[in-house]
Amino acid sequence: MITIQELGLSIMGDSPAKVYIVGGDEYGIKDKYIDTLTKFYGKKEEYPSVQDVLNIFNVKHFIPLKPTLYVVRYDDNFVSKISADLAKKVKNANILGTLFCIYNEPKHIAKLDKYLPEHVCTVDAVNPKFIEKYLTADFPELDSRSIQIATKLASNYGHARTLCKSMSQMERQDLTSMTEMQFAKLFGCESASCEEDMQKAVAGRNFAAASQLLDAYEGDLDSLIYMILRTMIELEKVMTSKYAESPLKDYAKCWKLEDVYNLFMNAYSELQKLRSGKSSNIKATLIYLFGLFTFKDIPSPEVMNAN
Amino acid sequence: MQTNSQKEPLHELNRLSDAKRQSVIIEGPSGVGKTYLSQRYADMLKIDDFVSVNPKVADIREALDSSIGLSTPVMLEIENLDLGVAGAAYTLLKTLEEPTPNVYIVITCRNLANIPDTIISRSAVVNVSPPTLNDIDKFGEQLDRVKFTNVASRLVWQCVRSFSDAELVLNMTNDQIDYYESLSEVCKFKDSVSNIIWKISHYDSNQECVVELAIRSIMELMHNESITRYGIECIRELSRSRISKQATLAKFVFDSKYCSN
Repeated sequence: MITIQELGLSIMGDSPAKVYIVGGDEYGIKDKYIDTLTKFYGKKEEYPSVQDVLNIFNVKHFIPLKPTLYVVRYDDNFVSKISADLAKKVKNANILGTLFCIYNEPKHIAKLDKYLPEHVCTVDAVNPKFIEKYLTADFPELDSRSIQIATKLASNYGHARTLCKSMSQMERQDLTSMTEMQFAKLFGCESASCEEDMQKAVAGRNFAAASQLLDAYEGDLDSLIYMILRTMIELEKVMTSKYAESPLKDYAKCWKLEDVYNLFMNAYSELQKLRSGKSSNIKATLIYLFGLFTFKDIPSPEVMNAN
Repeated sequence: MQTNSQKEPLHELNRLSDAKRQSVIIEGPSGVGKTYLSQRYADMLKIDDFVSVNPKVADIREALDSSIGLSTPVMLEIENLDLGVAGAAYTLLKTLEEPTPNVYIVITCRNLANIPDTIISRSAVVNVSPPTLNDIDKFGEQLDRVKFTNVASRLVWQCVRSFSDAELVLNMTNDQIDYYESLSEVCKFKDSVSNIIWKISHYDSNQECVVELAIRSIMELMHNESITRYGIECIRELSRSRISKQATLAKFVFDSKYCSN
């Protein structure tokens, strides 16, 4: 498999490769590279399958073909049929231009990588610093503050690019006067941004901040219980794996493994009560769970339920 | 194929078909052949038109609406009604109160406690017990004798508790069958909880595996009373589908890692 850097250099260079197979969640990067290749060839055509593109070059054309970008999206049939022979055919195909295949499923990319490793790349989460760098190049008319806000509010580069496109249509005065919260509300990213802050409050065992954020939270309260469970799993990973990388790494010092276990079990037990109808007030449940942060040693659910 | 665990329910359905009962509930755990029994009930009533319906309000409503005024009988099998929202069950209520001519309804469910009383009181209930290990072996042998001979002594086959699981195992590749035995490494619980969750829910190829079989394999490999208890709780919670699979697995792993003797 080629790296994202190798993919970028190859596409941005003067002679793009004949075939690229790109997977991963970061659809913004895929779009960016398709735009770049479209500009390079001046022509883009979409086809439903790889075989359709290969067929173009299996017949003689009286009018010579022009170099073109051929895009094929999610061709599952190609994945199921891929073999050493088919891979050889793809490598040796006399494609005039570039064939750009897009996939989402990691298992599809894993299978294709086995046969076409020099053409396959997966583009997953991009570091926010790189997102900022890309956006600065894509939207020179936007100031650095707007780009930082878009990066923070968006879930990935593709999302951030959409936010920047909208921001670039706004009046300059509005752009500079609006706060981050107002942008979050405008773009419907309020709950995502708040959830991230909430996760930090949970990881930092900060009852006051978590309760305050809960009051302002307008998203699905149910998802906050799952967020607590996720946070405990993440903290356990940071505390037990020496080399684990996580944005919550700095918060591990606030916890003992026993507390992580007990808070997970308390949150799970409360979730069971909500699902079985023994409890129905999710907000009160969350306040109760946040309240457990204040204990020096977080009690187990058995102790809490006995009281 | 008829198995020992299905003899009694078939006898019961035969009795109900004589009475031309229009509403029947078949209750039993996942993969015991509830759909097979529903089809047999349609055969007993000589109904050719058999339609399986998802437990969704829109799907049930559409199926009921399109069955009105039919000149030939139709059987609607509402699959796993207890996994649908309460509204799905109530969509059926009017039809059960005033049965439409020629429309027979078989409701399947895993847990009768999750079906509203108003639905139960208007239907005949047939219980199906889980298949015996002998039933499962017979089923496997009949489905694919060669594959069955190869897998019968493997760990994953010892973990099969339903016909649907048996079918899954018989369709597994050798690598997938080996995977369940390789879980002995995971059983040391030395990795982080998040990594263990990934390992017990994915094959080496990163494809999702059958989690229930993975949990049972760990229970078999460990022979530890606490882990067996956590495993049973986990499988029960997974079958209820009330809490996300990841969270339920995380609880099993947390408990097994930090609280087993």
